[in-house]
Amino acid sequence: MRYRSFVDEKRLEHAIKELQLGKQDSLSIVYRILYRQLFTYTFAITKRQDTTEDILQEVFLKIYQHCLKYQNGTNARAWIYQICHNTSISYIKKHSTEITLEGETLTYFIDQTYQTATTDFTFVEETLSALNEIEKQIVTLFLYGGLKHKEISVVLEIPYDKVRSTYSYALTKMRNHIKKGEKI
Amino acid sequence: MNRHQLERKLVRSLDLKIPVPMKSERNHWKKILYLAPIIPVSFILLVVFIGQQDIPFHQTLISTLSIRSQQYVSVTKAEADQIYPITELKGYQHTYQMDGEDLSIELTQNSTKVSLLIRPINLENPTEKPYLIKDIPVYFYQDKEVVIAKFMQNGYQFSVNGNCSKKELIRIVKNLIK
Repeated sequence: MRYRSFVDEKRLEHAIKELQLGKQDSLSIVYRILYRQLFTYTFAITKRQDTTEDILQEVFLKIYQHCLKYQNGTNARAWIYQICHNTSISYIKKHSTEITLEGETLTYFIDQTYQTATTDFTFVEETLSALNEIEKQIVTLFLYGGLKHKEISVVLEIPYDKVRSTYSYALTKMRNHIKKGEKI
Repeated sequence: MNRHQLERKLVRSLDLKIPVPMKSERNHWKKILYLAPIIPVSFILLVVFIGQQDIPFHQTLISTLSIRSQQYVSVTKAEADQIYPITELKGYQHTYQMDGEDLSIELTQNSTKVSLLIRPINLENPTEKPYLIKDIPVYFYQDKEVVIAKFMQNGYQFSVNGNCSKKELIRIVKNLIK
């Protein structure tokens, strides 16, 4: 799980409160704190840089438009991830009929844009392929989104215990999948 | 491989160095820490200054703070000024030739979004559907309309349905919006 600073959590919550009061600058604070994590999480789902950037645009716009719907005192990060998750899923559904151009591979974008990135996406893709959709979502939210099990249960609207057990089961499944691959 | 090793490997395998185009606040605080030895001296000077002025202390402090926040905003605003206002984008039309075919690039605007259209110029059939349509949501920044995509410095994403080379299109649009 990624490192999370307590100060960042407080700043995030404060920024959303400010946003509710109409201070538009606060959106940039939310953006600075969460952009990297949201990007990695969405990227793990979509596997495409341009789609991820499109989705994140919509996500930040939605945060801005619907900030009044956030209930103060609840978990701001979980609320934003819920927006991000729902936006990603609906975006993928909406654009599922689009044609992907040849040569528009993931490596192309990583090479072009994130030249310093130390990525081994084939390993991630291969390992996650062993999981079903819900397991994949829990694993990506936990590892790439940096959410706690409790927050994942809010985002995915699944009981906390089920999130924990599914995550644990998913890890076992992935380890077995890797073992199988090594044997072959 | 145990579960912790697997978790670590999965995280490290997708360790993208994602550029965040905003100034880091953490560095901002570091700068303040570097200035820490100067702060007591500044405070003494401030007290001396207040002593000479006939202004209540809290009022001076508030104005100092507001100047400080204005300075911070002005930095962000300077970044925002580099963003293209929609008014400069709308109605833009440019003709470009690709693979021996004339293409028209248009940027149009309605109240909520800017649309980017790239269509082949076909004189025989002028109503032919565009190759590419992209709606860029609009973000309002300090009473100024800007394109949110550009605000995030990633304003060139679109989807392509057709035979265009996407790499080429990205180049065109980058030149277009520059």
